[in-house]
Amino acid sequence: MTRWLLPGFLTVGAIATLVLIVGPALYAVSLSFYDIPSLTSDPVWVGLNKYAVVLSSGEFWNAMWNGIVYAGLTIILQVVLGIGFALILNQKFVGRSLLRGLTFLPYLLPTVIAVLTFKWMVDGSFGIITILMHEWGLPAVNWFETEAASMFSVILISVWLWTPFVTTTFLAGLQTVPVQLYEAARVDGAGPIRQFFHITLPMLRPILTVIVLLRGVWMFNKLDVIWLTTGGGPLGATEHLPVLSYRKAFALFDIGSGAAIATLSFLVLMIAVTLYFRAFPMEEVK
Amino acid sequence: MAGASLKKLRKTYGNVIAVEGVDLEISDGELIVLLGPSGCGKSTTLRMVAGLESISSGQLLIDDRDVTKLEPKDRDIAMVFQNYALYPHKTIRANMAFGLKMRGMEAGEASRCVNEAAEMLDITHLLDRKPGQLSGGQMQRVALGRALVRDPAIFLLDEPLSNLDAKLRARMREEIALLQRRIGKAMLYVTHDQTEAMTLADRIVIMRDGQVQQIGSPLEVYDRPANAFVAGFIGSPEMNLLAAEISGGRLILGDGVSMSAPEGPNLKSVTVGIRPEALEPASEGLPFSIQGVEQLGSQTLFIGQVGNHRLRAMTGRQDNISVGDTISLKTSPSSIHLFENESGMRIRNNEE
Repeated sequence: MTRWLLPGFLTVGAIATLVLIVGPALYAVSLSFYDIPSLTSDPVWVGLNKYAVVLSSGEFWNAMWNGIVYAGLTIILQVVLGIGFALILNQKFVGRSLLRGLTFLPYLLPTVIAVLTFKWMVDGSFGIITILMHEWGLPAVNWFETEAASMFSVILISVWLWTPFVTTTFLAGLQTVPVQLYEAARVDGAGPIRQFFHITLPMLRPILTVIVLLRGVWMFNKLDVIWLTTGGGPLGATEHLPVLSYRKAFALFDIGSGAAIATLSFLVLMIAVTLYFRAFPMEEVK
Repeated sequence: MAGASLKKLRKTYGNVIAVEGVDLEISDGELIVLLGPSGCGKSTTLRMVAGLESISSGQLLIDDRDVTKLEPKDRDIAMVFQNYALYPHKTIRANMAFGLKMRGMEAGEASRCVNEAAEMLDITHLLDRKPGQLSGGQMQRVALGRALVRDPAIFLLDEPLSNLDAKLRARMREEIALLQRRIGKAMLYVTHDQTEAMTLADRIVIMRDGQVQQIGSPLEVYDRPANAFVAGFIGSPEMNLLAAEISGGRLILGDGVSMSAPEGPNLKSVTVGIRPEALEPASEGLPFSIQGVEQLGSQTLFIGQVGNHRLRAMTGRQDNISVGDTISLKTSPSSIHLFENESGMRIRNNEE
């Protein structure tokens, strides 16, 4: 019985992976070699033609750049804010447990709800933020109308939604750092800031490496916030690779191009992750 | 006077008193051991001296300077932690130099100090490694080295050897004693191991439930324990403590067993303390029926009954006495300790 247990589980896992992940992925990649004007028409083999067209188009490079800006800024903000909140929540104060719980709430919210609420709050005529800003004499902000503002808005929503992930992970990590290290540092004469850079950060480097990696991959592939707010606009100002790929395949019925963009996006990410691991190798467990 | 001076140091957590008024003068070059069972307040006392716990009331002088309210870094102390507390991502060199660097010492000077301390502790070959690559004993040396480079007014050591195996512990104990004599600085050393206390200390401070029980040199606390607790805590194997009545110049141990009482005390019932090593086989004396024999090589430990009292006796090696035998034990009146029943306080005999 036990002799078959390991191969048994392995087989089930391998089959599930093949059917649910590897298969569709390969199928998606294969689609990029065909011209498919609609979901019902017969695919026509065009080789690497779609890639040539996509790579020579301005919108691909625009989407690539937007993706890097969006992912880059959201990660930086999430990590900096997340660590800051974690450090605050790691202090002793009344109501800490409650606040720890509240801090995690945004992460539990479906993106759709967060996005719709935000849109509501900044609505041009009855949004609470619009009204408050008006009352305080601040100039009106067109949250989704200008190119810079819409990028700012999608970043803001994303950071609000996913910073709790960083906070919670980092907070969990903080609790594993031996108290004696901080005591030794106090005796050695290191203040709070030096304690952070000489103990906290190095001790939590492995966790931070994983956080940045995961959030980076997720943010680069995130479709929902942008799709639900700006749809990539205005004028492609917030259009990144997932949105472009989706638009090509399902709005412009060019499934081959959509698949080609998705494949290129995957390759870019793979190269980025490989370089990341080169730069920040996971430390061996001591 | 250099060294340190603890004046009525007290620590309370809400209504709980962790340390109750410790008074202690530590002179320069003196090694003081805080000894007691876990929870007795010895570590809290040390941490108050270090500045890692606030002092609820009382005063602390280090090098004649009032440091009661100062941060650890401003107290001119160095500390060795129980679990070493080495910075795992820093090399040994960086670990040892960290405190110097934080104090703004110039790099060349710091490096010179580290090398000097490393040489003293024979860890020069480890300087470029990280703590994770070191054995427990090596980490202990590094922790000592990190304290040593700082050249403080007083060294604080919190159970520094408790994570080492017995053999290494004995060796490090000797080394700490040598080191302390060599550098001639005051040292406050916390341990629950009475052997460590006996072998290292110039003076031992024995604590229990947050209160100091006795302060004295190792032989003082061994020869004249202030109370029954100290008597039982110091010495290995433990002192025999038996309830007895005094009547007609004799100690009545019950079941028809009695022995001559030391002169002096004018009490009816007392607690009698006799160290196992103060008992020896004789042609007549206390009838001792043997229930256990532990051979320790040069010595033999007997466990048995005298009347209805369980007793241990440690003698020179005895090969011919075995379980089931009954022998006679004698002791000299001068090695009998008497304690009050209620308070446990020592009853002084006429010679004291």
